[in-house]
Amino acid sequence: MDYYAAAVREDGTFCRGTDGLLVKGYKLSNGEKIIVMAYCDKENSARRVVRKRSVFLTNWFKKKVGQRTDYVIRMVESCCEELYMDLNIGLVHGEVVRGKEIEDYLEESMWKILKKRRFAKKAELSVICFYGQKLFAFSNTGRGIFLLGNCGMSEMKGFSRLAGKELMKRRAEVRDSQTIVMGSDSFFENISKDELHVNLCPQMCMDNETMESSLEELGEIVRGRNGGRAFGAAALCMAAN
Amino acid sequence: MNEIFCGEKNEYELVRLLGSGGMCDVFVAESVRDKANSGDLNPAKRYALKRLKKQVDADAERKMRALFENEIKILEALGEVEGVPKLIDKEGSITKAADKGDDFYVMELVEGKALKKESLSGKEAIRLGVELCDILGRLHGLPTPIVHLDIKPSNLMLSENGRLFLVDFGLAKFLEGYESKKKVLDDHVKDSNGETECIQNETKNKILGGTVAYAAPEQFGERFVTDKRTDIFQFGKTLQKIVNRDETDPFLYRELQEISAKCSSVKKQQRYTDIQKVRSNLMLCERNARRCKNRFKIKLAIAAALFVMSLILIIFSFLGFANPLFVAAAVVPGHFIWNDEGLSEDTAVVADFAKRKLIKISPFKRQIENSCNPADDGIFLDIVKTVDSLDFCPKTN
Repeated sequence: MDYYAAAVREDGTFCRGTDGLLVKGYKLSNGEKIIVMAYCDKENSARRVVRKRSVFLTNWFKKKVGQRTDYVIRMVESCCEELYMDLNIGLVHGEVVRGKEIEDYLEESMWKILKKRRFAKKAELSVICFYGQKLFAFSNTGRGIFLLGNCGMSEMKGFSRLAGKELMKRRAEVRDSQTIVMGSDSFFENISKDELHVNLCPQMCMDNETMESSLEELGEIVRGRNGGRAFGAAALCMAAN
Repeated sequence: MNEIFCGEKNEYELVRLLGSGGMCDVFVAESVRDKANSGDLNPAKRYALKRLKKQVDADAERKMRALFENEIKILEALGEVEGVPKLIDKEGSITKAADKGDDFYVMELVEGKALKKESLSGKEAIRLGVELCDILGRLHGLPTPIVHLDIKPSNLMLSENGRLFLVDFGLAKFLEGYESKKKVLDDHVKDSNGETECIQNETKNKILGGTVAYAAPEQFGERFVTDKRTDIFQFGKTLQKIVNRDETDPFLYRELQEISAKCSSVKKQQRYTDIQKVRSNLMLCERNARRCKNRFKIKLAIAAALFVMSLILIIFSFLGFANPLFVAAAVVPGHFIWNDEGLSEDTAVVADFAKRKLIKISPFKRQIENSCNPADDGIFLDIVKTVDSLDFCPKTN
């Protein structure tokens, strides 16, 4: 299976964006691939601040939130690096990579990140990991992940809450011809399902460059409609060969 | 296999199963009347009988029947178009088969095989591509144009005498309106724990026209707006898939790739507007490839000659036998030729071809592949976008 990815993230006209995203793909020494996709955003009261106080204050506030998001994304990134290194070292010693181990590792890591004090309240973190045909999705809210298949577009549902943790998990199997999109509310609110589908359906995702230009086009549309709000989105396509 | 199917014109006896798909079974059938009249020396003519499968789900059954009826309607409209199996007969109004509830139609039997991926050399692909363009040209050129919408190698039958046939008109439609002919496919997400229903239920009722990896972007989603350029897209994809790279001249392969890339541009506006333009470009493909190859050879020869000459002249000038002006006269044009973009592109094409050949024959395939693609190991996707961390780094003096 071939994977293509693209992301767009833009600050608003008057205020900074607070979100962060990550798409990392690793090829193990046995030829298998692991792809991790993460999106973190803070549902903040920035709009209220804009009305009541100054733009300067809003930006200062958003800068602090953005720093926290950046920290979370960097944490996820370092977890991915660790996972990749561990798996590769295991492979050198003749161990077999199991989906369950990856899932457990990610679950533990996500929970560690969510427990951190720097993980802001009301923040949303969604992480998806692909390993072969397996998909593991973790989220603290269980929303904001969209699947663009050949038959249409749907939001990923069916997350189950883990006992004793503020974390939800979803396990699934994927085949090719599927695009996964994660993004900010301001992105999805200002774009129709049709527009998303026309630009990011699996057939449109022939390579990274095409995806990037499609996502940029979508970004242009969003920019024209969202009244200067910041937005961000990441898309990953599993292409049909 | 002695079932008898009664059509409007004749009765047909099944001989053997030819193939089976999600929607239909195709049988080889003989006309009962012809069979009675024929002898051992003059066997009865054979036909292909396509029978609609029974579906468990009533909704799916209704959709499949609609597709099936659409196919009969299209084949009737096509009549005697060359390169398309002719409709011979269809289910009679009151028949034994109708009593059983079987929907079927009988068409011309194409004895041959369907095309496969990477099965043709470049020249063969051009020949069949031109033939396919002719067929599509006929479909698009009808008074009410017909678009096929499901062109792929498995729907292209190569008969025993080398002629190409385009089959399976289940998704085809008349280009007068934008009504959709739909095909239900499974959604592509399945859960290992039986948790998939939420996704599947949401997308189950939605529809798709075409085949994954061949269908054009405009065929996806709920809005169906297709035209001739959708067929051109699928033609490009098909052309791309049927060519075997290893059996094709690198320059010809590049030309073919350019054509298929233009055909299958994601944006409709960037594609060819007419299948005849694709045909004429395909016809010129071989000539263009030959020209490119000759140009490359000439350039390479001149560049090599100038290189050797300038080397000799440099040595001679150091020894005092040659005027430095002669050296400059040799080096300057050499410099321009070596830095020519066209030459470097052509060299890359030839080098890539040589590498593939080398990998194919070498016993150390893996090592060569790894050494040629060092970037394949490790990180192949790396996108991180957050608030720019550099802004927050404390300034150091």
